[in-house]
Amino acid sequence: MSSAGTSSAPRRSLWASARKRFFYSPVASLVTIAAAALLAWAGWQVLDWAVIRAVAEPDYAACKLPDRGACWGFVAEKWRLIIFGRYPYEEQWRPAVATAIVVAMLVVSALPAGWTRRGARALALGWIAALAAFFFLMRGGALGLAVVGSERWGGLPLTVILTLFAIAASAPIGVLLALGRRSQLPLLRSLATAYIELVRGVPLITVLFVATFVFPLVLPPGWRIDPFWRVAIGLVLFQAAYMAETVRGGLQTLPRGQLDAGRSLGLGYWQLQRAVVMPQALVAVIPAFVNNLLSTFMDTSLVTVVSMYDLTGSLRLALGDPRWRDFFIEGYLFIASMYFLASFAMSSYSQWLERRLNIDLGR
Amino acid sequence: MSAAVGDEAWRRRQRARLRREWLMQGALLLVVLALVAGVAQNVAANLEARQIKSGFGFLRDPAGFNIGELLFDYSAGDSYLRAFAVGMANTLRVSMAGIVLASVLGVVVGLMRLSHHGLVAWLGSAWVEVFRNTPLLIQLLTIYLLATELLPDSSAPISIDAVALLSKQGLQVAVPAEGTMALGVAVVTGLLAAAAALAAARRWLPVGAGLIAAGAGLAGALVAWLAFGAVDGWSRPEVDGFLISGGASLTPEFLALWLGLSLFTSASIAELVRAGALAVPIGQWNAALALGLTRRKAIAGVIFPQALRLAIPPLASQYMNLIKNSSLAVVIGYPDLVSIGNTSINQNGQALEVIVIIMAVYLSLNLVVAVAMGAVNARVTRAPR
Repeated sequence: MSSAGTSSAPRRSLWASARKRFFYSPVASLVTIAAAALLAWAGWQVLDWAVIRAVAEPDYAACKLPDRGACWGFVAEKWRLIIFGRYPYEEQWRPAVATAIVVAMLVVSALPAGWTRRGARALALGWIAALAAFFFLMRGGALGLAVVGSERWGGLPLTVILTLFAIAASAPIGVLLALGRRSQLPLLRSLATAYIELVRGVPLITVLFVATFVFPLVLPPGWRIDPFWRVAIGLVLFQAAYMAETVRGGLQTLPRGQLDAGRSLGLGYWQLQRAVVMPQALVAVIPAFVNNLLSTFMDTSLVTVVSMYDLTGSLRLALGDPRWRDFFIEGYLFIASMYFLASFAMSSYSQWLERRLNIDLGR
Repeated sequence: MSAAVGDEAWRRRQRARLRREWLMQGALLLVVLALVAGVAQNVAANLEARQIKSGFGFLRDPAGFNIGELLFDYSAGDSYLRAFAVGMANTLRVSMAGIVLASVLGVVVGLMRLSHHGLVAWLGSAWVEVFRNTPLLIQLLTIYLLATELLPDSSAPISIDAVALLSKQGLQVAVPAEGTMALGVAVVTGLLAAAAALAAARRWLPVGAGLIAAGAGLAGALVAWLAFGAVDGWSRPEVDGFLISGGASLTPEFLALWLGLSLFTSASIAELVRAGALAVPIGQWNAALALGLTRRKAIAGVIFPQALRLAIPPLASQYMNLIKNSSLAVVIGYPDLVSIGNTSINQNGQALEVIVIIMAVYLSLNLVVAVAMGAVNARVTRAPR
C-alpha cells in the first residue's frame, strides 16, 4: 500500500503494516488465520471447479462426465445467442457495430474534458448521430441492409439501447418535472409532485405491465405500438420520476442568492434556468446521474418479465435447450460477470467523479 | 397579499403577474382535462372492440385458479377478491421476513466494513460490491435454480437431526404440535420479557433500551415457544414416499425470494450503516476515547446512536425498495400480489382494474412504512443528546 517507496527498507515496513492491519491483537491474529484459511479453501474450490476440472470446448459428452467442473462449453456454444438474442445469425455484425458505437459515445461523454459549453453541444450532436446510427444499423432497410424488425432485437444490444434511451429521454422530462415540483403555480406543482410520488411508490414491474397491457388500450382504435417502443416508453416514464428527484437535489444545492442575482439582472424565468440554474445544478448531480444510469442498466433486466429478450431473457432462451439446461450456473455467471464489470466500472467512475467534483467546488 | 405593499407601478406588475399565472394554470387544466377525456374515450372504444368488461365487478367472480402458497383458506372456487388478499398476504410475509434478515445482515456487513481488520473489511466490501453490482433478477433466478436443481430430491432430503429437512420441496422444520397455543404462549412471554428488559435497561443505558427490549422479547418468545414444544410434543417433518409431511414448510420459491431480497438489500443497508458511522464528526470519537471509553463502548454509546439518526430516513426508503422488489416474485413463481394479478389479467383481460389494485396496495404499503419509520425517526431524534 502506501509504504511502497517511502522507506529505505520496504520489506520491514510491509511487515509492519501487515502486523498493524492483520495481527494487532491475539483476537485479530485468530480472525486473520481463520478468514485466510476459509478464503484459501473457497478460492481453491472455485479454481478447481472453474479452471482445473472445467470443460472449455462445446463438447456435450465431455460436460456430462461425472467429475467434470464448470462446463464453459455451454457459453462457447451459445454465446452468440446469449449476446445477440434472436437477431439473424449472418447479420449479427450489425448489432455488434451499433453497440460499439453507442458504448464508445458513452465513454467519450464520460471524459470531464468535454464538459464545456462547446463540448456539450458537440456531445449532444454526437449522441443524436450515434443513436441514429444505432437504429439504422439495427433496423436496416436501406443501403443493402435487410430489414430486421425490433421483435428480433435482443441480448446485449437491447439491454444497452433500453438503458441509454431510458436515460437520454428521461433526462429532459426529469428536468421539467423537477422544475414543476418547485414551481410557484399550485396546480403545476401538485401535478408534478403527484406523478413523481406515484411512480416512485410502485414497482417497475407494474409500470412495465402498464406499458404492455394499458398502452394499447390508450391509443386510438386501430393504432398499434411495437412491443419494443412500449417497453422503452415505460422505462422512460418510470425513470423520469427518479431523474426528477435527482435534479431536484441539484436545484436544492444552489444558493438562493444565485436566483436573486439572476432576477435582479432582469432575466426571465427560462433565461434564468438556462443561464444560471441548470449549468450549476446539473453539474452538481453528475455523480447521482451516473448512479441513475447504473440502476437503469440493472433494471432493464426486468423486461424479460414482459417477454423481451434482453441479456437475461436471451440467456433463458439459451437455457431453453434441454441438452444444455443443466449448465445454468455457468450461463448465469457469464452474464452476471458482464453486468458486474459494467456496474463496477460505473460506480467506481461515479465515486471518482464525486471526489473530483468536491475538489473543484472547494468542499 | 395586502394592498398596502409597494407603489402603484409595482402593484400593477404584481396584478399582471397573478393574471398571467392564473391563465397559465387554466390552460394547463384544460390540457390535462382534454388528455384525460381523450384517453378515456380511446380506452372505452378499445375495450368495447375487444369485448372486455370494465369496472371492479369481476372481483366477486370465482377466480378459478389455484395458488400454491396460502396463509389462509382459499380454493379455486373463491372470488378474485380473496385471491388478491392471498397475494397481498404473501407479499407482506416475504417482505417482512426480508426486512428482518436484510437489516441483520446489513448491520453485520456494515460493521465489518468499518473494522480495523484488513481482511474483515475486505470481506465486507466484497459482499457489498457483489450483491450491489448484479441485478436482483439474476440473483433471484440463480438462487432459485440452485435450490431446485442442486438440492436433493424430497425422497432423500438433507436432514438436520430430524428437526429440519432441506430438499427440492423446500425447507421443513419441526414445530410444536399445538401450533396456535404455542404461538399464544410465545407472544405473551415475549411481551413480558420485553417489558422487563425495558425497565431494567432504561436504568443504565441512555439510548438503545428499546433495541435491547426488542431483542429480549424475541429471545423470550423463542424460548417459550421451544419450551412449549418440548413439553407438549413436536410435529416433525417426515419423508413419506416422495412427499414430506408434518412440520412447518417453506417452499423453495419463498426461500429463494426471501434470500435474494435479503442479500441484495443487505448490501445497501451495509452502505447506510457505514456512511452513518463515518458521518459522525471525528470530534465525537476523540471525545469518547478521551473520556476513557474503549472503542467498543464508544461505538455502542456514542457513535451508533448518532449514526442511527442519520441512517433512519434512507433506511426507510431501502425497506420500501425491498417491498417493491418483492414483486420480482413473478419470475420464480412465488404467488405474490403481482403474480396473482398477472394470472388474472391473463384470464379475464381486465388489466386496467388489476393494475390499479396492485398500485394502490403498493402505495398504501409505502405509506405505512413511511409513517412507521417517521415515528421511529421522531423517537430517535428526540433521544437525549
